[in-house]
Amino acid sequence: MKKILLLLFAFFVANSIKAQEKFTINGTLKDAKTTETLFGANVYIVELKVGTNTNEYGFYSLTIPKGEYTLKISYLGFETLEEKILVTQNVKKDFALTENNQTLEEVKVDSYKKRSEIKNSEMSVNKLSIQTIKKMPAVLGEVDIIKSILQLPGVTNAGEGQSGFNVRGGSADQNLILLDEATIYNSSHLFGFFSVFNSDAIKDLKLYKGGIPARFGGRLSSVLDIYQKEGNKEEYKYTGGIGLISSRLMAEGPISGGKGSFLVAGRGTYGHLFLKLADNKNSAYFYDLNTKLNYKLNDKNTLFLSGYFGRDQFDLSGGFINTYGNSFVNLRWNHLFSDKLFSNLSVIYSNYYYGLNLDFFKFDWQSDIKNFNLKYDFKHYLGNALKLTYGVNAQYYEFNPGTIVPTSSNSGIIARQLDRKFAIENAAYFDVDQKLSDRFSINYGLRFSNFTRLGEQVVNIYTNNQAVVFNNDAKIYEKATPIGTKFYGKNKTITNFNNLEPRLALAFAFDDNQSFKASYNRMSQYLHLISNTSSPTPLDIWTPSDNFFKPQILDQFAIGYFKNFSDDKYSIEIESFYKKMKNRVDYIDGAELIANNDLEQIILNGIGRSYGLEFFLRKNTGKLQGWVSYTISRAEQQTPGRNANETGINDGKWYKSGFDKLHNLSVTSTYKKNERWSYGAIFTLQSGQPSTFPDGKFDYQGISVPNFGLRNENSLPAFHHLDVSATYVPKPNKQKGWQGEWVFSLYNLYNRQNAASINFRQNADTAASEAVQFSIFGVMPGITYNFKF
Amino acid sequence: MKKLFLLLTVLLLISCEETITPDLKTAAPKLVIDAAIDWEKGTAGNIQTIRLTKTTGYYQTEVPKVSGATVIVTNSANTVFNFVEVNTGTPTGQYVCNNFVPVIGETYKLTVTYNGQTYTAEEKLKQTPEISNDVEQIKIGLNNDQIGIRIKCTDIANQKDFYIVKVQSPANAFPEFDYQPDTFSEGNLLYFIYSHEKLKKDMQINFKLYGVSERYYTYMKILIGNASGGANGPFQVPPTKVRGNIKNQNDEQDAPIGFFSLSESSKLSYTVK
Repeated sequence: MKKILLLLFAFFVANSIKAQEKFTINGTLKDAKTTETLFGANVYIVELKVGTNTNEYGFYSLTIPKGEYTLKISYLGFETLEEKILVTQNVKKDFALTENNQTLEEVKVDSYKKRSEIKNSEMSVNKLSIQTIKKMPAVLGEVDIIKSILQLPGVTNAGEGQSGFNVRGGSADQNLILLDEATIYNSSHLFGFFSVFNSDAIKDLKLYKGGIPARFGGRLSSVLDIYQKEGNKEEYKYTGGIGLISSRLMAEGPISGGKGSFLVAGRGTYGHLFLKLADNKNSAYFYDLNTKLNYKLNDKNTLFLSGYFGRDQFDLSGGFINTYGNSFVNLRWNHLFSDKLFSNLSVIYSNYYYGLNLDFFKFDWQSDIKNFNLKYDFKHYLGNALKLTYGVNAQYYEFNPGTIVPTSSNSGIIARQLDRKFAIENAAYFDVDQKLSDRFSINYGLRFSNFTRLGEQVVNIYTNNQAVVFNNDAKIYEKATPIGTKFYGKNKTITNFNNLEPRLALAFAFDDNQSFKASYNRMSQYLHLISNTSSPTPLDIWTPSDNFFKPQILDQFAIGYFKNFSDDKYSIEIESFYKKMKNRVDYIDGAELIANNDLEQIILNGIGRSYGLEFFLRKNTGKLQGWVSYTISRAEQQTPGRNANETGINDGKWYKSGFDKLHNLSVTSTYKKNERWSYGAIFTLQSGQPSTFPDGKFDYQGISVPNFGLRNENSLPAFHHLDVSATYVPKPNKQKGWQGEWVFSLYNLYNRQNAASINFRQNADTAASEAVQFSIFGVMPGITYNFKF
Repeated sequence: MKKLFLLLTVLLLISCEETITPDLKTAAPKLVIDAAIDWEKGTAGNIQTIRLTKTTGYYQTEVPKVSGATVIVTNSANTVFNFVEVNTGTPTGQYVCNNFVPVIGETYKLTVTYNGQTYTAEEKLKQTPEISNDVEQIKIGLNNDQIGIRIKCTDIANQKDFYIVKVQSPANAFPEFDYQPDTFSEGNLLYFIYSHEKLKKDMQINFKLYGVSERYYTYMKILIGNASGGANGPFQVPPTKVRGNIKNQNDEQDAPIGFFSLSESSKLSYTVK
């Protein structure tokens, strides 16, 4: 209720400002060379000291009194533009910025710097431009967006070559990964070695770790918001690269004489080379295709059509074939209702497919998630001190956990369909961005989310509604036997959840260069990734909330100090966070996850918590640029017994999550020696991954079995490696025609054998108990040739 | 299934293996009761052995044998089967019964008395189908160059079954286990594949199939997972504490390690071609 009053107050304030004679200036910002719209560029009125940032579609709107002003437009990596404007009526003004080809001799003082955001209440957010990412060394030279965000404070993953990422102690399924606003369910190719994003087709990305605005919802820990390029509106351009692992090619160009543009980008791997095995019948490869089309109908209406299709195929001599991938189509309509009211309507269909063909066992397995998503978002520029965002979202899900069919007549497998699941997720939100004074700004919002599970489905009924029972004799959890079933017809409601998710962020600026910020956000998540391995695998399936899988709820508090110093040469961000999570799924010992139609019989709802302190120091200008990020944090979970009698999982004690890293240090730097040569280096030093070591062994049925105590009480050895890269541009002054560059990289320069796991087992020849350390990557060279024409 | 993931892992990871000796703690020794009654089809099943040992440090070569315990099994008619310690001067930890009477579906109770503590467990004797004589030798592995042996049995119809296969092969210094429920093949053919990189022509492989209770199945699944040291690599399920079905009547918190299980078993011997 209070929030609604606040909102009304905000409207009132806005209207009172409107009473003076004011006009609106709005328009779109783009890159003069590529014609891509610019997201997050700063538009500033020098005389009034007011400004705004462009939105995801490059749109800005400012409302100012009649008069003559200096408009200053700046954006990371671009020349700052200044223009005198006379405002006597509402004006539409589009600008094109020129890329800052900063030569070393003449450093433009005025070029926009990557300084920390001081006055805006936005915190716990990292923005990376694709240019920055491309300069970072990569495994086998393959530019990887997910790997690059691991260098940021508060972001880790379960280990080398593992898929997904963990933000501030959250699990990998708690990240909302959006590519052009469509949800991506699996961000990895080849089981985690590469990410599904083709760097050529990506414009930029923003990672929200905390203070998440109300327009995002559905995942607890973070939002990774990635935008694809739109394509060049003026000329046909081709970009590509040839690497050890994969090759890329992208084409872009105008359509209808510059009214629109298209972009098509493809990428594929050469599996056999990667496997380093000659003459074998195995293959492991992936490919993906990014497409985008945009068309400007008129000044007020633009249409966008984005598509993505990616597949991984893993074939083991025909005996084991695993195929999986994401795909989506997204149609968006940008419409300007007025100079101050921007809207976007998105209609998205996305699909995540997973298939497995096991010829050894003569069966075929297919599973998928289909998602229809309708989003209508509004950005209302009520005044220079007040911006209102609101919208609605409706999603329909169809889960197929598994269709199993025998592949031959002599197969023992019986055809089976695991229960399909259906759900609707609706949300409505508003978000107010308000500048209360020159020093104090506030962002507050509220998201209402609703999740409804629908039939058709047969649902199990259990005594006391408990699908897991505690065997007091053996002190173990076991699956309960259903006492009956209930049939829900098509579109009949099985269960329904409603959640209110308040969001709040405050910023207090001490001066132009330093500020203190605080934020709180509540999130709810209705989908669960069924996985009890330390990082997700493509075998994991998603399941929606129901009577047993309660929605996950998170509360996060964060505070931070932000400072730019030495004339913006450096910036420092220090943040501390505390998160607590409810209904975190944990699995009973010995749980059978694969092809289990009654998943509720193997899970208990636990809780989780994480807390930490993050330091982020950046050097923003000069030949040498980069950052140092250090995080000290803890991520833990607990599943206590449901009553005094039960032991809970892991004896009901708190234990470290599989991706807990107490210390995490990353140093990322780029050095531009001259126009031809530039260098990049990343050094990573982390606490070893939590692990469980035996505290003894015993003999049983002729084998020697290590005896394990409580979970994750031990740690693997410290994890560190240094990666370097060098980029050589043979003809740096060539601006037209064929332009090429060579990227040489060395991953893990000093060949550190980092432990991916330590396994305790018997030696196959001697039967002696031994400990074996597995390491994944030694030193790995990479070479890539990139070109454009 | 598990083996396949191992292959997957090896193929994918340009991995490196190294034997190390990390410092490990050793918990206080615990009693281990290995009481798997095995009634081989075609035998009387009168001779049965139960082993009592203790846990020891991980790098130790021998586990301590338990001597001086009383071990009995009773059936529902209260017939007592005594398991007598085999005495060779040094403790063997083996307790043998010569007059056991196995009956499918019968409920048996185990009672072990040791050091003033009484340990008990109850379990039914499970039926097991015959391993088919129709054994297939297949090619498996990264380059299809490894020998795989596919055995099969027909699942017992109209009931939930759980199976464990024990494989003794000259390729491996200790027995290997596989497990499978009948979830996908109720009443139908059930396949098990055994392969080992060191399998060679003329090696004699001994398979033994056991029908087991769901609890013993889960127990063995966790135990095999723990013992194989994460052959699943990055897809590894974290190792966990195993809890069997044997209770300590004197101290609920101090349950022994081990399981009391009773199964019929079917044997098959195959010589690699």
